[in-house]
Amino acid sequence: MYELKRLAIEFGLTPKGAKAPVVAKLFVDIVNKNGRIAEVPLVSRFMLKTNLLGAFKMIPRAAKMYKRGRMPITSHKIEGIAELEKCAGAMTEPMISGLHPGSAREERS
Amino acid sequence: MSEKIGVYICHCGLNIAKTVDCKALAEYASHLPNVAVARDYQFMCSNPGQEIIQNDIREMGLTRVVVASCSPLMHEPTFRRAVASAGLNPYLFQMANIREQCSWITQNRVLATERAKDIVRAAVMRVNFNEPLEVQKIPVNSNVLIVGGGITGIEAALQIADSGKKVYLVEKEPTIGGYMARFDKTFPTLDCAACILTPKMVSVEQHDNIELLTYSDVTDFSGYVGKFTAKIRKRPRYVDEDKCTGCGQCEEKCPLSVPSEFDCKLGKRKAIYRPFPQAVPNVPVIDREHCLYFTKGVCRVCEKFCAHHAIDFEQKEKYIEVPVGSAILATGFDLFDASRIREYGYGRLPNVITSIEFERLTHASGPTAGKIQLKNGKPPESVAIVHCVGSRDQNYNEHCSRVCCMYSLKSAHLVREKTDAKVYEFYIDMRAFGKGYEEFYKRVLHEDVTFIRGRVAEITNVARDPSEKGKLIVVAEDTLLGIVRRVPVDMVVLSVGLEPRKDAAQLARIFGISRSKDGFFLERHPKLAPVSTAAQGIYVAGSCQSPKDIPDCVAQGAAAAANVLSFADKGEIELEPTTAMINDEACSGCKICVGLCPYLAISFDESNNRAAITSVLCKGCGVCVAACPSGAIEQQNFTNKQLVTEIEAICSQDYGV
Amino acid sequence: MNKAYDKSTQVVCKALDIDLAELNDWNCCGASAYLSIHEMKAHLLSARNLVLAEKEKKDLVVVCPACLTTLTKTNHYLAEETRFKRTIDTALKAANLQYRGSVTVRHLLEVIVNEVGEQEVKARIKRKLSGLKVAPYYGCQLTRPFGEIDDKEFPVILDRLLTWIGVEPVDFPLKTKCCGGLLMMTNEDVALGLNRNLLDCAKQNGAECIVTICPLCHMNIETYQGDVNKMFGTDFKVPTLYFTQLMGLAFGFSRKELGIDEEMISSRPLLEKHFEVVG
Repeated sequence: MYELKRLAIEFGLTPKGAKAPVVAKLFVDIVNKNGRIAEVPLVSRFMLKTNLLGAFKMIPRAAKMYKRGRMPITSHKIEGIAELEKCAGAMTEPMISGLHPGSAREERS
Repeated sequence: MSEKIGVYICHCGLNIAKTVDCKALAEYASHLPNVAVARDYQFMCSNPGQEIIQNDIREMGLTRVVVASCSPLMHEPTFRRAVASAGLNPYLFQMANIREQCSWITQNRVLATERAKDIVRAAVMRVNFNEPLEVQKIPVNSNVLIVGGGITGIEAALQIADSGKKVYLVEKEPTIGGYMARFDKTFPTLDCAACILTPKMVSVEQHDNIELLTYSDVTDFSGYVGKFTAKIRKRPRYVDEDKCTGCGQCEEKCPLSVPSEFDCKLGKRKAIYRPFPQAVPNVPVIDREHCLYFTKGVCRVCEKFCAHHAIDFEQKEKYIEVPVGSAILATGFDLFDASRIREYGYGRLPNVITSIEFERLTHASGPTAGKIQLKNGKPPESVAIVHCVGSRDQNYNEHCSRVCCMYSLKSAHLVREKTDAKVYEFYIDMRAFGKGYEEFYKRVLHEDVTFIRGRVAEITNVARDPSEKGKLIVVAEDTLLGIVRRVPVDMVVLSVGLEPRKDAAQLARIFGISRSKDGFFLERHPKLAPVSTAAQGIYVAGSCQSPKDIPDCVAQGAAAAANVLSFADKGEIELEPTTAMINDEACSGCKICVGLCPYLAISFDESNNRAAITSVLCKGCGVCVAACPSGAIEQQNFTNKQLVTEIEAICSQDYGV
Repeated sequence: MNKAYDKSTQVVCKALDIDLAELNDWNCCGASAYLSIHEMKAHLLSARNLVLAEKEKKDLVVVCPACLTTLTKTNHYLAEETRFKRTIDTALKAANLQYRGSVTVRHLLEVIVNEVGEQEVKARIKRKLSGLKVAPYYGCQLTRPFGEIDDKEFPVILDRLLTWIGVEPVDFPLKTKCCGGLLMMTNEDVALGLNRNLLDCAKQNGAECIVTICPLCHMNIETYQGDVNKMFGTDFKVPTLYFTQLMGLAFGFSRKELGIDEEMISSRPLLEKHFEVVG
C-alpha cells in the first residue's frame, strides 16, 4: 500500500495541491537532520507551504497551546545522528525496494 | 546364449525427431552388442508401430525389446502390453526416455543426439539383465465400506448395492441425509430438498445389500486393497433399534427441551429425539449430556411410556470389525464459522445470521414454520445477503466455495417470494456455472433484487443519521459506482463458505490418504482421477474432496461406485511385481528398513531375527532398498546389477561396445 | 505536545514499581510518514531503536501505537532470513551495529494489564473514582494489524483496566475507529468528520469523558473539538484523558503531577463532580 505512495512521489504523480506528500517530505527532512521529529517546525513549515491563510488562523490555538505548555519550541538533535547517517549511506536499496516480506520481489529473492 | 535385442527409436512426430537425429541413433544402436535389429519410426505407440515390434519378436525370435521414446509414465504400459501380446514377458522390455529427458530439454541437435545415444546404450546394456516377472493376482473382497451418509454416500451406496455387492454405510449422526436434509429449496430448480432426498434415504434403509450403521464412526482401517478390515464403533443410542417402531411417544413425553443442532440452535428438541421427522433410521437417540436420567439420575419417563420396551439405559458402545475390499469416503464439509470475521458482527449483533440459519427459517418444518422473521418476531423490511464470507480470503480460506453464489441467489428469491422486503445482494463475482444456473440468475435479476458489486467491509449498528437508526448498516464499496455505500437493513444473511470437516485430518490418518493444501482430501489427479486417491482401493467423493453442489456430489458418488465396481466385479486385481525382496542370508536384523517403509509393508520376525516384506503392500518405492546397510534388499526389475550396468553404460561411451 | 503523557506515565510506572528507563538516544520511528518516502530507510530507523534496546537487555515499551506498529513490523520482518534482513544487517554493520532479534516490543497498557496485573493495580488505589463513565478509545493501531494484544475489532484490555481503577467503561462500538491521525493536517475536513463520529458515539452511549492510549488521538479528539463543533454545529465539550492520567488520579496524585492542567478542555468540572480534586 505504501508502495503506491512511494511510486507517486518518485514519478511525480501526486495531484496538484496534495498535502500528504508535503507533510511526508518535511517529516523525512526533519528526522534526517535531527533524528527526532520536531512538531513545531513541522507544522509551521507545512502551513507556510500549503496554507498561508490557515497558518494565521491557527495562531490563536497555537497561543492557547503555548500557554498550557504544549508547544515545544526547542528541537533535540540525537547523538547518534552520525551513526544513522552512516547506516543510511550504506543502504543500497532505492526508495521503492518492495522488499517487505510477502511482496513479490522478496519472494523471488 | 546371448540375447537378441530389438531397439526401436520413436520420432514422436517432431517432438523427438526435431532435435534428435533418429536415423543416426538407430544406426548407432544397431552396432551395440546383442542388438539383432534397430529401427526408427514416426509413432511407435501407434498400432502400426506396435505391430512392427510384434512382428520382429515373432519372426526374429527377439528375447529383449528396447523402445526409445517418451517417459515411461506415458507409454510403458502400452509397450508392455504390445510385447506381452506377441508372446514375450512384458518385464523383458525396457523403455529409454529420449523425449522428456533429452529432446525436450535442449535445442542443440548435436548434444541431443549424443545424449540420446548414451541413454539408448544404457537401456540396451541393462536390458540384458532384465528378468521375466509375473504379475501377482490377489483376490478381492467385494464388500465396500462407505463413510458418510449424505447425498454422496447415499448415491454411491445405492449404485453399488444395486449391482449385487454388499455395502457398509457408516454415518456419524443418528440419521443419514447430511446437510441436504436441512435445506429448504435447492437451486436452480427450487426442488424441495427433502422431497428428493427422503425417497433415496428410504431406499437405502430398505436395500438388502446395505447395512446401515448410524451413530457410528470408523476407528481403524487396516490391510491392503482387496483385503481391508474396518473397525467401526457403534455409539449407544440407549434405544434398541430392533424394538423401536418410531411411534414418537418418548419424544412427546420427554420433559426436557434443549436447543436443536439440526435447527442451528434456533429451535428446540427433546433430550430423546430424532433430528428431523423423516430421519432414517426412524429411531430416536438419547442425548446423554442433557438427559435428566444421565445427569441427575431422575425421570425415565420415556422408558415408562414406551409400549415396546425399546429404551435401554444400559446400552454400551459396540465395536465391530468388517472385511471390505475397498472404501469410499463421502464425509462432506463444515461451514465457515462466521464469528471469526469480527467486522461482520455475527454473534454480537442480533439479526446477522448465516445462510444455514436462513435455510432453517424458510423451511416449512423449521423453528418458525417457514416464516422469515427477525429476532423480535417481525418480518424484515430489508435484507442484505453477503457473498464470500470466509472464502476467497487470504485471512481465512483462499478457495472459492463454489455453491455460495447460487445459494445466495436462491435465498434472495425466497425472501422476495415470501416477504415484501427489499433485498440487497453484495457480491464480488457471480459464479453461475452449472446447467440452468445462469438462467436462474437472470430470473432473480428480474425479481427486484438490488445487486451491489463490492465486498462488504463492515456491518455496524452505529447510526450516522436518523435513517440508519435501529438498523444494521452494511458498509461496502460499490465498485461499479465507485463510491462507498452505507445500506441500512433489518437482517443480514452471511453466505458462509465450505471448509474441510474438523475431523478430516484424523480421518485421513486412519485411511492413510493425503489432504491438499486447503485441507480437503487429495485426489489422485485433479482432472483424470478426481475420485481416486494415491492409496489403492480408497476413494473420495463429494464435498470432502472439494466444495461442490448436489449434482456434482451425486456424479462423484456414482463415479466412485463405478471405480469400486471395476475391480470388485472382477474378483481379483493385479499387483505390479516390481516389489522389494529381502535376501534372508544377508539380513543382519538391524530393523532400519522396518520404520522407513511408508506403506508399513515391512515387519520384523523376532523368531529368526529377519525383516520380512509383505509383497502385496509393497509399492516398489525403493526406500528400503537404498537404506539397507547390508545391501540385503533388492528391488525386482531394479536390481543392483541392472542399475549399475545402466550407470556404467552411461558413463563410458565404449562400455560393452 | 505529549508532556502530559510523559509525566503521567513516569508517575504511574513509579507507583507500580515498573522499572522504566528512557531508551538512550532513541530516534524517531518514522511512523507512516517516513515509510511513504523510503521503505528501507524507514525500517532502518526502527532497527536502530531495536539495536539500542537490545544493548540494554530490556523489553522495548512504547506508549504510542504508531511506534508500536512500526517497531513491531520491523521486528517481525527481521525474524526471518530474507533479503530484507540482509539489507538491514548490511546497513547496520556500516556503523558497527548488529541486531540479534531478542527484543520484544510492547505497549505500556499491555504491560500493565498482563504483567503488573489486577491485584497490584487495585492495591495502589487511594482515590475512589466510582460513577465516572468513560469511553475507552483504543484508536486504530493498537490491535491492528497483528492482533497480538487483543481482538482486532472489539478489544477489551483497556475496558478491563478501567474497571480495576473503579471507573465505568461504557459500550463504545467505534472504539477502534480512526481519529484521522495526520489527516488533521492534510485533509482537515475528513478528519473532523471522523472525530465527530467518535464524539457522537461516546456521548450517545453516556460517556462523560474519553480515555485514549495514543498522543495523536488525544490531540485530534481534544484540541480540535472546537473545530468539530464549528463545522458540524455541535457543542461537544468532552474532556479527554490519557489512561495513565486516569490511573494516576486513582492512585491519588494531583492534576498538576499528571499534567492534567495542560488540557485544552477542562476536566475539572467533571472530576469535581465525582470526587474531591486535589491540585
